Amino acid sequence: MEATSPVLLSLVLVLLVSTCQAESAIRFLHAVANEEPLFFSAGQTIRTDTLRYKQQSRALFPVPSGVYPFQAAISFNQSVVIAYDAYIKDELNYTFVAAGLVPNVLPLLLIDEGDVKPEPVRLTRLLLWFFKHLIFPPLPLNRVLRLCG
Amino acid sequence: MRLTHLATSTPAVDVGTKQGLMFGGYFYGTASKYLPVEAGTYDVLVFRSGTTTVLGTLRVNLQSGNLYTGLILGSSSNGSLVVSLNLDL
Repeated sequence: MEATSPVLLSLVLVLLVSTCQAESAIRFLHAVANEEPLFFSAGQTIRTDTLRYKQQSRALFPVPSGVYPFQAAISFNQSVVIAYDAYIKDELNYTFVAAGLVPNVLPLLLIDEGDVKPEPVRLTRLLLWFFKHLIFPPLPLNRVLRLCG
Repeated sequence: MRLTHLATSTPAVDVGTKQGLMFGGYFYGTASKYLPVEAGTYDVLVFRSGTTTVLGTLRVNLQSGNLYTGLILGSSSNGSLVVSLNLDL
């Protein structure tokens, strides 16, 4: 058990880090009919280039899960046409759309289903696995080989 | 391919080709799920839902392995309705 514990701990740490780094991604689409070019922002860190009507951002911006204050603003005068708080969940990709007509701009958050990544490792499952192996350590390799014949 | 209805003052729409319906009964502000579509060139028709009244058309060339979003934009009430296709991935 003494020999396996550091290995297990390292493995757990690696898995925890990879779990915590799980991110979503988002892109933006300007669908406000015949409106001036817009730029989109989400909080302080995300801001798109100027997008023309019908154009979507090419880049998928990586974002951790959380609530984001999405905004679309007219490029030349910074006038905000839509402000919308939306919850971004881990491991999904989204398209934030500003649609409709000024002043009735409609915010839409589409889940890009085709881009969904595999289910992340759940922390509870990981801890159960860890404690199970702490209490019932894996058999030494030579015993496994013996058991297998 | 998926469809989003983003055209204001426009009734629910069906979308299909001459061969058949692809998406049925979408209202303003709604989006379909991605549906598998065979690669190829299609004349996509946007109908007023439940009728054969064509509101807009678009010729699209779908490449294998790509994801697309069909956008219905503008408004049918003032004749500005347009159909557009974006490559998602």
